[in-house]
Amino acid sequence: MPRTPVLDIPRLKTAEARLRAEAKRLLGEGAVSVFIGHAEGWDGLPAPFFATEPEEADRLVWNPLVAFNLAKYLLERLEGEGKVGLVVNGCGSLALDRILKDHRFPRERLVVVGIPCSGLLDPDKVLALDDDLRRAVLEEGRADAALFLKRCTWCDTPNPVVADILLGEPLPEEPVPAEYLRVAELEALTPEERREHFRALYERCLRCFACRNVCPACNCRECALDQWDPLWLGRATVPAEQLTYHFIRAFDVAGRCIRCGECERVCPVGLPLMEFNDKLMKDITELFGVERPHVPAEAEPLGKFADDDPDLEASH
Amino acid sequence: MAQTQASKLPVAAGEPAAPQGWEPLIVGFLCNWCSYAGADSAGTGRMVQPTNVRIVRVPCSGRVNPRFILRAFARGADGVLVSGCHPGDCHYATGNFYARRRLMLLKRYLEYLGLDPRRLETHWVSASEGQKWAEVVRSMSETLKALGPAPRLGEWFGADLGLATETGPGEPPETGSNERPETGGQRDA
Repeated sequence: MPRTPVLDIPRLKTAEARLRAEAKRLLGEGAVSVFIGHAEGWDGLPAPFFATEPEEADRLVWNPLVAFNLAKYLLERLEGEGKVGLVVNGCGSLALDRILKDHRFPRERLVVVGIPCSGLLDPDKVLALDDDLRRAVLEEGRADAALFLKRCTWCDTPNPVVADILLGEPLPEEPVPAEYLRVAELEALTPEERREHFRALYERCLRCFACRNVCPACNCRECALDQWDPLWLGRATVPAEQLTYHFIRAFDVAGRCIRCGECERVCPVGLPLMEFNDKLMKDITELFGVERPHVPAEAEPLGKFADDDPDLEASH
Repeated sequence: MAQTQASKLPVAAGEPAAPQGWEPLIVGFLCNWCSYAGADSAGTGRMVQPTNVRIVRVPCSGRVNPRFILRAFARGADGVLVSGCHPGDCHYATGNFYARRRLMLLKRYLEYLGLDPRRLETHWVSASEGQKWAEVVRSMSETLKALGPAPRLGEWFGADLGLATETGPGEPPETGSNERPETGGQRDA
């Protein structure tokens, strides 16, 4: 049963005011040298924003469209001096936890401001609405279920799992049984049909690497896809290489994917990339009994083993 | 004898039927401590076994990156065999336990992408099990003979791009042209 996300405008507005105040205090006291949040971008949508002066904190926004997982920007701050402030909601904190569990950023250099989140909208879908409708959605909170981010419908972590400062009351948490409906549909097809399905989709891939760049689990120091020696991935955008690319991308985050679905959301040609990640997550649950493979706190399933794991030799 | 046994296996539809005299090419990743020695003892014991496996010696089955396996299939392997010490007997104590999880997941993932899962096998062969090694090679060769040539990654994914240029025993018949494919997908390993 998918969860029904809620758009709570007054709650978001309160959180925004408190976020600005908190960021201003942190920057003013020198507790952080930069605060990573969202600000209004050129197209009216929230864009990642790096506040370095207390007065810049007033430009921070917290509204129904703050869809980015900001944690990935920490990797650009590895070299810098001083602490980094970061605002996260539930899924943002999973992304952050992924990076922390992968030892890619020192926890002691972080000040995390957490905001419990009941649901966010997909910016692209909201942008496509006409002006009146958009106003009704963004100001009065009258959003129907289809406008929400996909990940909100399976979210079981509305409250940040990592936070130094929590703004607002925690929301009630309830278990959401994972459903991989699309994967089950695909599994029911014949191998030929599946091959054709993936071929038709992935020949559209532009190899822009947006899905890799946005992914909080794709945080290796050197990406296999960028390596020249060995050349894992040929540079020609031919179907065989497209499959190689998506094979490597999904399998390398197997067991570490936080199921935020950002890869899918940022894809300029709208490829349903989670069909790969969900398959791996579904199998991890089925084979190794990991209930919530998307939660980094439950140590990554491929980084451990059990004596009674399914016997691979007997499976042939 | 072997033929009748093999013909019982269903051949996946849509994959090319094996040409006359075709032999499958199997890439075997063998751990240095058990399976490589096991294969060696099969040889020194003069056991009769098919010659379809090309062996790559790795320190441990845990060393086998799933990308190696994808690469093997992309470059013309009809099957991939990963073989290591029995679980619990790993030279590095735990390497094959990690491999077991990873390969289990990989096998199901390859199946999801549309490759016949019987083309990837994992076996635990110790240094003294020459007999078992010979049996593994025999049974896998027969399975693959029944399945026929593997779709090259390009074809598997929809188009033949001439990516797999290395020759193997199962090289498809000559087309009579030596020109490079127009797609420019050719490159060396």
